[in-house]
Amino acid sequence: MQNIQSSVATQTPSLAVSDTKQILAALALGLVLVLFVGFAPMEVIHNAAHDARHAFAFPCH
Amino acid sequence: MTLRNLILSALMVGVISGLCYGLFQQLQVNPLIYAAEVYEVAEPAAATASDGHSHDHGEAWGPEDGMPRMAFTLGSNITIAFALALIMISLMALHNQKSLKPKLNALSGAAWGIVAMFCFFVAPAMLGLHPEVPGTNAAELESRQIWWLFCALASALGIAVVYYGSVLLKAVGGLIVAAPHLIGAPLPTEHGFANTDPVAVQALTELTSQFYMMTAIGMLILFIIMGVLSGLSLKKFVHNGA
Repeated sequence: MQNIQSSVATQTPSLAVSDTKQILAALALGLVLVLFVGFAPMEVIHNAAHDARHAFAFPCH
Repeated sequence: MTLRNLILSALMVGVISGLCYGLFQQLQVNPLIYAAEVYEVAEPAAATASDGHSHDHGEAWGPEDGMPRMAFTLGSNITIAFALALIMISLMALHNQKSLKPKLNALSGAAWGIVAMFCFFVAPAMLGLHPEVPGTNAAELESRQIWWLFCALASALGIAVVYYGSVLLKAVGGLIVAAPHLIGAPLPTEHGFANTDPVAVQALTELTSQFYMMTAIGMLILFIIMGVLSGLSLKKFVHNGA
């Protein structure tokens, strides 16, 4: 029990330190996903997302 | 846990706001897209060869009209909404973590939503490239995409500088927001539509103005829902620790 408690206690600060990095990782993921669905030039993705791209007023065609 | 909470929050916000926008699009926007496609002219072989795509392998797969197409559109709406929500919630989390300004809630979330609409829709599309129905003449796709991304990024960065920066920096922020428009969006050399038949041109002109209005209303709905829910979920699920 003591072991578990101490390991939790030592882990908490390291989690707090990496908070910003985790936020930036989420931000990067969001950006990549927008580029993929909205802007990727592959024909198949374009066709699948075609109407959505138009409706978000992304450049299409 | 922060990453997990951010992603789960964005998923919830994205599914709800994407569904709302998807429904709106199905009812108000898609009829305009379908109607415009009737007037689309088959691209001549020379034009297809020079537009950068390779059509050697024949037409690529696309969802069939009817249910499959609607399903893929709805799926894409939700995916884009999820991605935008992830960007918004991440930036909100950074705000809560780094800024001394008041923490986010539903009301300030709505304000963020309106700012996001400006960055993602008003600046790049309304003030720049204009929303297009299928068959609209436009400049080369790649240059428009680059300008769009540049404009969205500059708008967001500029507004952030105006909001967070010192008095001196605020002017710089305004300049950053204006920069893409000073450079100018890549517009077609001649405005109009691929189909030059007068009846088609008149129909497409009407469809275009309806398309402007409907996408604008839809975007407003999407971004306000997204902003409010993002602000709420941040308050509830993402801790504000330093």
